[in-house]
Amino acid sequence: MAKRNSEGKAPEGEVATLEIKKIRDKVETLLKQSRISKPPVPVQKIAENLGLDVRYAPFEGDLSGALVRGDGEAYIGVNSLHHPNRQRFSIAHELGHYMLHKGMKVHVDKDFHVNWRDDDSSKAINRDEIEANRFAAELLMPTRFLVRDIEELKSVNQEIAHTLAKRYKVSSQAMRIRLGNFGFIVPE
Amino acid sequence: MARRETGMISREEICRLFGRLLARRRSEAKLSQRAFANAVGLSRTSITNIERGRQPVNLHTLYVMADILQRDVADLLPPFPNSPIGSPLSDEQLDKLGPGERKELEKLSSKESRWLREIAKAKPQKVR
Repeated sequence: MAKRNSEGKAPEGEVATLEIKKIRDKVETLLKQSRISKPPVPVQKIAENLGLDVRYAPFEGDLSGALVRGDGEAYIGVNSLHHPNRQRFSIAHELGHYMLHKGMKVHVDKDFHVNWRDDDSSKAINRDEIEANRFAAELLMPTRFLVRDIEELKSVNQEIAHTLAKRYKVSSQAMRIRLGNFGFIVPE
Repeated sequence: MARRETGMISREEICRLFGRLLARRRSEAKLSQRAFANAVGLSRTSITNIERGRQPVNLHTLYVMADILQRDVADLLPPFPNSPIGSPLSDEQLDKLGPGERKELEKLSSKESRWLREIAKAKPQKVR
């Protein structure tokens, strides 16, 4: 766990402990509302239960998803050329923006890992992206389910991480990062 | 195509919008005004004037600029203000956007904008 300063703010690239708790609680509520008790988490169904359409269109490049909110309608756009696991992550990421960042009416995500430079609001945007990523990780790999799968384990090797990734329908990379949240370092 | 209610866009307005867009694309390409001016074959003052909307460019220069910035020519052309054709959103939706969100939309390349329009028109694919 990285060090925190006296105000409890997380270092760049991380979400503060309090925020994580907030995100986890929101995810828990969503899972309960949609009666989901095991992986893989049906993210599109959850979006629809919230009144969000999911729409697909191909884009050659790094654009992964978008969130559009109007008065009567709200929808999530997904790049249909991406791997299905990545599409699931994109939906979950946009759901994160929807649940956490009320102000955004139109938001396009080109690459979640991009550092948004040369922009006055880069810090705030960065924080929103990091939070949306964390939300996506919590939703696709919920703490409650994942703890069940790993509580008996002393360490996690690549094979276990791969099996878990398949069970949760996420990329191996996403699972590796998520396991890191629980203190497991997966050897490359 | 239906005529827009906003009326004809003025020459000054086009230059102003073009200049703003060009300045953004140039800075995205990480080029200084001077370096860009040299590559295009204009003086730095001309680039400054163009970016401030005080000087028009001819069609050939536009293509040279796009080539230098490694962009589609369309990426340098500002859409009609408040136009549903140039924007992925309807007028109604556009009216409700804050300045920050408008800026976000302007940042999109024409290809990204096209994708967002396609999404806006796409039929939702429901799960079961």
